[in-house]
Amino acid sequence: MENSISINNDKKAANAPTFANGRRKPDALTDEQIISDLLPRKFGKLGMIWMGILVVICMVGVFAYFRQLKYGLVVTNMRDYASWGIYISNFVFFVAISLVGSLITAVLRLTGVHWSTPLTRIAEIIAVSAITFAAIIIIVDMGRPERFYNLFLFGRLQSPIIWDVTVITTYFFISLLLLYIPLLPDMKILLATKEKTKFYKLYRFMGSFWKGTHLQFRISKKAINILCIAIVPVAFSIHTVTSWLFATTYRPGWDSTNFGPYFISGAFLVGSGAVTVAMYVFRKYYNLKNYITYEHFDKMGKVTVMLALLYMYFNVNEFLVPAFKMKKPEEGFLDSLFIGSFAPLFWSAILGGMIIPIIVLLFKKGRHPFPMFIVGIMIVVGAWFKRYLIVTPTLLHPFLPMHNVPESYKHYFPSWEEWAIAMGSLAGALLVITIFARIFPIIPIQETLIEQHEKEHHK
Amino acid sequence: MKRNIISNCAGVVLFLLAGLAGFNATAKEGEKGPLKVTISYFSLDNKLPYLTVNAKSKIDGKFQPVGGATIKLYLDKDSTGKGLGLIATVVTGEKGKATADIPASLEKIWKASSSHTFIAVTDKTKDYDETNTELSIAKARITIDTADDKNVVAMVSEFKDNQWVPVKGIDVKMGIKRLGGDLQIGEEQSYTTDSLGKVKGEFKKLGMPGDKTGNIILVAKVEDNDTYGNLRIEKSEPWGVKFTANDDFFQRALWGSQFHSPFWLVFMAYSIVIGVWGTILYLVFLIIKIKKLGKEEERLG
Repeated sequence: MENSISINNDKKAANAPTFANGRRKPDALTDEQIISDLLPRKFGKLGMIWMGILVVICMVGVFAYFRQLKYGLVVTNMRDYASWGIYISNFVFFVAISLVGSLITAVLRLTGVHWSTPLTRIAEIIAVSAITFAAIIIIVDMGRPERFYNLFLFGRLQSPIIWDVTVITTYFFISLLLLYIPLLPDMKILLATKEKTKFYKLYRFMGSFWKGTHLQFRISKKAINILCIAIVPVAFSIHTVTSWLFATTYRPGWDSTNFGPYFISGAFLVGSGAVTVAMYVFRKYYNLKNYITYEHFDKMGKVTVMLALLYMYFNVNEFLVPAFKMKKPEEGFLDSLFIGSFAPLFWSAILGGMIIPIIVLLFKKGRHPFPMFIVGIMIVVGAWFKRYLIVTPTLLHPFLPMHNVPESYKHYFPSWEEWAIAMGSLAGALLVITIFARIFPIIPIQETLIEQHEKEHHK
Repeated sequence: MKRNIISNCAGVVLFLLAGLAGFNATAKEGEKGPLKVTISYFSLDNKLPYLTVNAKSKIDGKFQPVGGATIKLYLDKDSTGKGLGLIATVVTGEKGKATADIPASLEKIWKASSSHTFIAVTDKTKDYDETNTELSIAKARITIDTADDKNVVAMVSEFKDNQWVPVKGIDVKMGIKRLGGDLQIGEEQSYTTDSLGKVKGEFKKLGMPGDKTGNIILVAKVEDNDTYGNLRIEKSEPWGVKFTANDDFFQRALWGSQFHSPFWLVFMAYSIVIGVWGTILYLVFLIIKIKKLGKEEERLG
C-alpha cells in the first residue's frame, strides 16, 4: 500500500458522508481531494499583503543593522551593565520556540500518537526557521561580527558558549533532516501535479529520485525513527546549554540549579503556543478544516495546559524559594520584578503567558480553534517578554552596587535600532515559514494518504 | 496664658526664620566656593624633583576635585618676574591633579639656593577668581643603607652652607615596596631621626615574596614634611623569597586555556559530538542510499 499514491476513484467521492454544514467528513475524503487540498497554493491578496508587511519589517531591521555595523553597538542602549539586551532575549526565545520540532514530531511520534501527523511539518518548519534566526541574532549581538571565526579558532572546550555553538549547529542540521526526509514522498506528488510551476526545478532537484519503492519507504522510515530518537537529547541539550549560559554566571536571578528544566518546560510551552497559532492560521487561510480539526485543537489544548502547569511549577521554584529567603544581594532584583519597575511586565507575563491560558484551556470551549488561537498568541507574546525578564533585570542588579557610573548605565530600554532588528528577525522567521508554505505542502500529503488508507483498511 | 501665646508666637517666628534659613541654604545648593590649589613637592631617589598640584572647590557643601583648571607653576618668581622661573603650565585631570617635573633649564636657579618657593597661579575664569598659592621647601635628601643583620638605616640631611647637614627629629617611614603600597618593615609605623639624622629599623618581614632572584625593594620616606616636602629613596636587597611563577594556567583544568581542557571533559564532549554527528552522517548516507535506489528504479524503468 505504501508505494501506491494512487488517485482514488470517483465512486467513493460520490458516496462520501458529509457534516450537516455540507463539509466532508475527513474519513470520506478521496485521495484526489486530499492531494488537491494539501498542495501548496499561490498567495491571495491577503497573503501578498502579509508577505509585504514581513518584507518591510525585515528591511527596516536590515537598515538598523547596517547602522549598527557602521556606528558600532553604541547605537543600542546596551551599556556596561545591561550588556545583554533584547538581542539575547530574542535568541533565548528563538531557541525555546525551536524545541517544538522535537516535541510534536519526535516525542509524540515515538509515543505512538497519530493525531499529531498533520502538525509535524508545521512544527518542523517553525523549528528550522527559529533555530536559523537564533544563530543569526547571536551574530547581530556581536560588536565585531567579522571576528566570529575566532570563536572556532580560539574557543575553549570548557566554555558553555562553545557548547551552545556546537549544539545549535547540530540541532539545525537534525531539524533540517527531519523536515527534509518526510518531505521526500511528497516530492513525487509535487512533481506529478506541479509540472508547470516555477518551483518544478526545485522539486526535481530535491526529490526527483524518490520513486516510492518499498525499500525507499523502509529506509526513510528507519531514518525518521533514528532522527526522532536523536533529536530529543539534542533538543534537551540545546536549551539546557542555553540556560547554562546564564546559570554558570554568578548573578542574582541566574544563580540557580533549576534553570535547565525551567528553560525546557518554558520552551515546550512557547513551542506548543506557536504551533497552535500556526495551526489556526493555516487552517483558516489554506482552508484545511478537514485536516486540522477541532479534535487537533482539543488535544493541543490539553498538551498546552499540561505544559503551562509544568512551567508554572518551575516558575514557583524559581521565584518563590529565593523570595522566601530574600537574601540581601537578591532583594533588589526580586523587588524590581515583584513590585518594582519590571513588575507590570513580570505579572503580565505570568498572568497572560501561563495563568489565563491554563484557565481558558481547562474548559472544552476554550480548546476551540479561535480561543486556542488567542491563547497561543498570549503564550508566545508572554514568553518573549519572559525571556526579556530573565535577561535584563538581573544585569541591572549586580552583586556589587553601581557607583560612579553614568545615569544611562543604570537603566535599559532598547533603542529603535534594537527594536527594529529584533522585530526584523521575528518577521524573518515568519517569512521563512510563509515562503515554505508557499512552496511545499504544510501538511504531509503522503502520510495523510497512508493514514486515510489505514483507516479504510481497518473498517 | 499671655506668656504662653508670646512663647508660641516666638516659636512660630523662629520656625519660619529657620525655614527661611533652610530655604536660603537650599537656594545655595549647586553654588561653587573659591578654587583652592595646593602644591606638593616630591623628591624620588634624590634626583631632580617634581611637583603635584591639586585643585578643588567646595561644591554642594563638600570639597570636590576641579578638573580642567589651568595652573602656571613658577620657581621662586611668579609672572610678575617677567616669566622667569616658569616650571610648567599644567591642566588638572578628572581628579583635580596635575604633575610637573622641574625642567633642566631651571637647574642654575635650583642649585643657586638651599631653599626655594614654588608658586602656583591660576587666572580668573568664569567659574573661579584668580588664585596664588605658594610652597616653600628646604633642599634635603634621604639615603638608605642596610646591614647583614637585616637592619635598615636611613639618614636625612639638609643642604645648608653648601654641604649636607644631618637633620634631627624628622619622622621617617621605612617599608617594603609592594604592588598596592608600602608595607612597614617592622612593628614601628615611623622612626624619628637622631642627632646624626639617622633612623634604624629591624627588617622583620621574613619570608616576603620577592622577584625571581628573591630581591625586594626597601623604601625610606619622609611624607608631607612642612620644611622638606616628600622625600623617598628605594634600595633593592635579596631578603625576600624567590618567586616561582605558578604554571597552573597551563595545566588541564576547567579554568585552563585553549587545548588544556580536563581529559574527562575532552572525552565526554568528543564522545557526544562524534556520536551525534556520526548519526547525522549515517542519515546522510541513508539519503544517498535512497537516491541510488531511485536512480536504479529509473534505470530499470
